[in-house]
Amino acid sequence: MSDSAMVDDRIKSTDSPWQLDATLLVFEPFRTMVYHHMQQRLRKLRGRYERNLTKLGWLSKNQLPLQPQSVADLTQGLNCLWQDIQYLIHWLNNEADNEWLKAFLGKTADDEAHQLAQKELQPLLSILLHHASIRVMEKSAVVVRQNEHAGSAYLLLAGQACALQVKEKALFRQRPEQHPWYRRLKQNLFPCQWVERRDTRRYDAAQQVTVSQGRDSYLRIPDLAEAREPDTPEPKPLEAGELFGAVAALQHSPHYRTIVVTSEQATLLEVRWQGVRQLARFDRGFRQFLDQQYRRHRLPALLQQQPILLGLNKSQLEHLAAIAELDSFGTMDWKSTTDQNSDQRKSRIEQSEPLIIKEGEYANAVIFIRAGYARKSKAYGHSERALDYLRQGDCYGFQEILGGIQLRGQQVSELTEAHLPRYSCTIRAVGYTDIVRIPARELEKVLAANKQPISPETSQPAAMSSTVLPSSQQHELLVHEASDLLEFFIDQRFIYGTQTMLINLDRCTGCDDCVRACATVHDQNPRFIRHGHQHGGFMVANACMQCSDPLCLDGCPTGAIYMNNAGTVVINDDICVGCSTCADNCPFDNIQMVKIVDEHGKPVHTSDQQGKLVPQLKATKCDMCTGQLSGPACEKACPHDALRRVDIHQVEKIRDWLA
Amino acid sequence: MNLYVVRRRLAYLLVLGLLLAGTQLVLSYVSLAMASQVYCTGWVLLAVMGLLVSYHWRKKLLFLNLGGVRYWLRLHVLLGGYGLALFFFHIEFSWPKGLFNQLIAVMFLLEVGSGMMGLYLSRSMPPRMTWLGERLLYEKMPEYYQQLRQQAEDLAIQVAAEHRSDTLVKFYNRNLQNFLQGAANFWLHVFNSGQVRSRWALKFEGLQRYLVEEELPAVTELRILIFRKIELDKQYAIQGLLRRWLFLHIPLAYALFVFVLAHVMVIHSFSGV
Ligand code: SF4
Ligand code: SF4
Ligand code: SF4
Repeated sequence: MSDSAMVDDRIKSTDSPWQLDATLLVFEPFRTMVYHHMQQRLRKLRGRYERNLTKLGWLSKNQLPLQPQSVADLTQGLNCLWQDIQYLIHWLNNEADNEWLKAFLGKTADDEAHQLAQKELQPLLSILLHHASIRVMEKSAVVVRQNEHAGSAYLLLAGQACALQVKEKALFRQRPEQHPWYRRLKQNLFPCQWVERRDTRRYDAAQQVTVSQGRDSYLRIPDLAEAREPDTPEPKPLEAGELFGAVAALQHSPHYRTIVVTSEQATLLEVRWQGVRQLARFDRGFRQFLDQQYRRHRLPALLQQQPILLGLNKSQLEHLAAIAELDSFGTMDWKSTTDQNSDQRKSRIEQSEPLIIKEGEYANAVIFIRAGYARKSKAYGHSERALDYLRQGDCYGFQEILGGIQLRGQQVSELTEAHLPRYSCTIRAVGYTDIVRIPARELEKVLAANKQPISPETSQPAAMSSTVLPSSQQHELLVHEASDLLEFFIDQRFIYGTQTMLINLDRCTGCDDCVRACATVHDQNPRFIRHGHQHGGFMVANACMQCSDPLCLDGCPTGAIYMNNAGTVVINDDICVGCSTCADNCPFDNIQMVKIVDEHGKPVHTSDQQGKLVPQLKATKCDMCTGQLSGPACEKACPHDALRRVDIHQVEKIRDWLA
Repeated sequence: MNLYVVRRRLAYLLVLGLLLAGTQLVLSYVSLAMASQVYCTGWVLLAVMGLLVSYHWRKKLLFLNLGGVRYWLRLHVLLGGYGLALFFFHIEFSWPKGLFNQLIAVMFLLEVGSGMMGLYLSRSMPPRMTWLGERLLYEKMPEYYQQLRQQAEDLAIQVAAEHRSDTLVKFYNRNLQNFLQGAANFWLHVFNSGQVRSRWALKFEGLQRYLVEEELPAVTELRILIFRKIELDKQYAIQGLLRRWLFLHIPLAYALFVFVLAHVMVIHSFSGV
């Protein structure tokens, strides 16, 4: 977590092309995008524009073909539109979420050019409409938290903030305290008669620092000096116009620092990670900027973790990072389906899972997964059969390229393209997938320049030895017969889980001991439902799977839900304001919002944004019995060994257990 | 049966055999020492019963870090077998005298019998349910019954209205209404009888003779609903059985324990030990 990384992760006002104009401070980044976009579009659609513009009377026939000046005029016109937007913002004064954009889109303009431009800007506007919102925060509000999975990027529109490292305590991320044994004995023997009872006195401290406004709630750190982690760099001031967290949001990876508002009030434009991805797709300049940041600060770390690149020095890694190609595939949209036949399956896979590598193509590069998941399969019958899946950090192609060639005593550089070996598998994006592609020749050069020369007899590259064989390749050998299982896990996206609850139906008697055990340790309300997707002889129960890339963390306004050091996603009940964002975000419906009662069984109420009294909700989910001595109670309690928490990546173990 | 299961069962038998051999050895030593074998087996049996009961408490006191309940169940089963053998040693392979002792013996055998039945059921029934389609929650089954009933009723009424014929409605009233009320044929399903399905297949075949061509698709739909109901009944019966045997096993265990304590006290007070 380098200090410089954070600084560069945001866009400084001095960095071109994000130089901010004093009058159009707020939307300059987007104005630049519009400008680039329009120029691109105009080039592509020159003919159509010429016709339209002539029709509109903007250009007389003798002005054609369109001159650069006309493009500049158009862009000028667009800038005026953005001024309109800004007036609208001031006018609406952020009263309703995104109202200004709606108003803008719905605006009836007489001017047809206005409409034309609006049509062209529709993609940008719709990204903003769906994925961006204006947030106003008071002094000491926490905008993003260190080590929190980045769900959004922020553009500081007005006000000031600072980036620093704070103590975990200030973020309410202490480990849940272990109850003394007599309390737990009592809990086991004499369960409380109230369901979801809370000791409401516990909330007192949290209430001092949470500002509860539904999804616009936030946490405050009133005393920054006290909260600051000792021996960490001085807080870095952030000025209006700075964009931060965009690279982290694009990768859906953790923020490095905590950012706290330091002015009396700050206005921020929050762009959710899906929005950041779409903006990067919409504007090449923006994409390049983000890629450059990624290449500089995060890619060397990713490469360093690769077993095949062990032993490379810093400059070699930086060199590889500089020449690597970055690419993105797919989207987050997904719905579960059941295919009746191979044709249906084939077309579904082809449509919903973009191709990254095709089996049989010349193997000229090694790929690394930098975000998301990918299916690794081989042609089988009329369709493809899954052999494995790749997740963040996994690599593919090394075995084929270097392994194959070196076994025959050759070097990649000695071969022409047509003599390169071919990829043995197809790789497809599952959901969204970001990859890094390193050309084989470059990789070979770097490996050869390294101290250990690559020769077939002496020092085989790391990939050749079974101990450091990339996990996915070892895997392939083992899971060949488990592909039916894998297909199910991939199709239903259970591959996200690291602690998925599997129930072996051949053993489960339905005694509900697991459910009762869970209820005993969780306020008399089990955190899972013993029901779910069934496949042959097992079922994936409705229990939080502790995803490796948890979507439920996105947008929690107070940071109440977070991933702890053990990789478990837990909720700090004290600062949960009950906004339901996490429950809505979990694609597996594994978070339940519950009404709570106080020590005497009376329902607890809170006031909503209109001041009306409403029941206080709290988010609840499986937390792997964090804070209990004996691990997950469900697994412990099952007398028939019918329930296990499993990492789907260990598919061969699962298969053995199910057998 | 896979190799793992065979190996595990052999291991059980081996441990049980060793335990029994050990017991026999100790008992022969005890008889050499002129002490009472019955006393000896009695106390050991009481200790074993204590351990057997502790399984129930282990399930309740999950916070204790004492290994998963699955290991405790294995121990419970093993000790159950050992307890049965000890019991026969204790009664010296002859039926006890006196009403109270006989009552305890009957209770003990019932307890062991119910345990063995439970073990058999919990091993043999889940695989049967696996192939009955979606595993349903027992508590939610009344809801599913209600849904099925509603669907069948709507179908019969719709056909009657469309084809102006009341044959299907009459069939529904006479045959289906009661059947769809709730769970049925508990024991037939427990014993995996195919009778229910065949009976209904026959009934539907008979019905088809009196219907016009256009009504047949509705009958097929109705038949599917009835077969779904039969599957539901099967699940209900099996899940019910898997729950109900415990109502015999657990109360009996505590009653037996109390009786055995009384037995110990009586023996002590009359034997002068
Ligand atoms: S709540 Fe949902 S998204 Fe979050 S970790 Fe659990 S299963 Fe994954
Ligand atoms: S944990 Fe969920 S419900 Fe609670 S504040 Fe966070 S997003 Fe809202
Ligand atoms: S404890 Fe085991 S056997 Fe009982 S319901 Fe849960 S998973 Fe099934």
